Amino acid sequence: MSHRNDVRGVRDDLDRLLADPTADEAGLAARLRLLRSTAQGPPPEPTPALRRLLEHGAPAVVPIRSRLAAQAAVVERRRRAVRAGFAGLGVGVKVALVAGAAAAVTGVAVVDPVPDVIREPTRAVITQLGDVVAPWGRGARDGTGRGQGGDRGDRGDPSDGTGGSGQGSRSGQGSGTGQGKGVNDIDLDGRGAGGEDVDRPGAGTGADGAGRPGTSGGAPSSGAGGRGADARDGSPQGQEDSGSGMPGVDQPGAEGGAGSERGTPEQVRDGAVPDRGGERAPTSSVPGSSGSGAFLGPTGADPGRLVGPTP
Amino acid sequence: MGDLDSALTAARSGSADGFAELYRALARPVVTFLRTRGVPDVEDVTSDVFLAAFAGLGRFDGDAADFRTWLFTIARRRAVDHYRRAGRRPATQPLEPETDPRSVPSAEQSALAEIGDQRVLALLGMLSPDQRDVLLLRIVADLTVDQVAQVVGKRPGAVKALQRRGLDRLRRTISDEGVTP
Repeated sequence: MSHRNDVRGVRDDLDRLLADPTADEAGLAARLRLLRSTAQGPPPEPTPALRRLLEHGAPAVVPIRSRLAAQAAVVERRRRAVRAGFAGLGVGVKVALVAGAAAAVTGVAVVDPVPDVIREPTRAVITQLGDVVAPWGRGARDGTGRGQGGDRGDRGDPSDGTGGSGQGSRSGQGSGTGQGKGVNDIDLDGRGAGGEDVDRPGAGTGADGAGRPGTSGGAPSSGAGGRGADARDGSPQGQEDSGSGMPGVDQPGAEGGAGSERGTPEQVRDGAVPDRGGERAPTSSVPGSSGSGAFLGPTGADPGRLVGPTP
Repeated sequence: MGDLDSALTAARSGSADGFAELYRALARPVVTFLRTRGVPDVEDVTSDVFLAAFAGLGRFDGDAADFRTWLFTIARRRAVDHYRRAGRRPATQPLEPETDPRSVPSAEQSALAEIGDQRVLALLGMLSPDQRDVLLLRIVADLTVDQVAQVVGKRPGAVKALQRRGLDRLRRTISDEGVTP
């Protein structure tokens, strides 16, 4: 029976009609009571699914409000535990943790076994981050180093073997350079290759031309070209690389590729003349036979396609 | 309501008795409500309504009165779904005394026998859907104005207005018919 009152505590007209109908309302009240009576009685037969529930029950449920409160409590407890744990660490441990995380990220970018799919984006992020943190070092890092030749061409960055010029001429025309270089310790500085080869045809270089910034094999700090390249690549040991060793022979595959040509021992010696290549290379339009993609044109705009002069 | 509150508590704990008690207490009003809304297969739909309500107990937070409101909200949605699917105005379905297991007070039943259930339901069919919903939920589901407002998604004032107009319409109709109880 709907004897409950409305919110305002006032008995509404329906309740009054059902409880105290007037003479005119008697018929209506009787029909409404009849309607109400139809809502009383035994329930209908449940469907099989509902019957199972009514006979066997179901797992207990926890009201959602209680569940949410419990979950929030768990999350807050874990958060406090992490905070407390971190706060309890010493400064040294904290520094070690941060450094370890940074090293892990950096390691992903440089460790060979890591797939390129992962390395490249990570490396890009690190490079961009480095640009933000130290924008003045960009030229040296990315190996462009354009126009930094200077008199001695000694802008090579020993740390990565890529940057700087190493092609610099004394006349100041030295241009660009550092186009990739020295993967690991294969070569010290292929950049010198081009210049040196002009002066000393066939002088070995065998650089790993493709720009691989950030790798090891730093160039010597000065006179990049000639010395670095010849000193090693021209050596007999250097012949184990892919270079043909034919002086002055063009090796198309040398462009930007893995160290290609290697000089003979004599050429090695020739190539060992310090700094000469570095002086002439920029003025020569005929790059040497170096496989290094390091040589850039006078403007440093294009990677040198290294074609050696015929002997 | 105390019994229903304890039944609701038992149902939350997974007790079959709690589910059964809730079903026994509320199934018949749901059946009547759905039937007057013209829903076919009323028993099956009623079972679906209860299954949905029992399955959603984890999301429900309230007492027995709130559960009753929630149950009829589900039932009304099912009726609306049927109404939309049918694409027509719901027709009232006459009661079938020989299959109707109701047990009502014999005095009241005999007093109203000459009027007949069909006339009662036909009377409700003269109301607008909103007026009929409000009166059914007030009379059959035994909900307060505020609870009905929650079920139909209207303000309590609007529900009161619908109820008043519906009763006036019924009053005029009966007066025009000249039927006396």
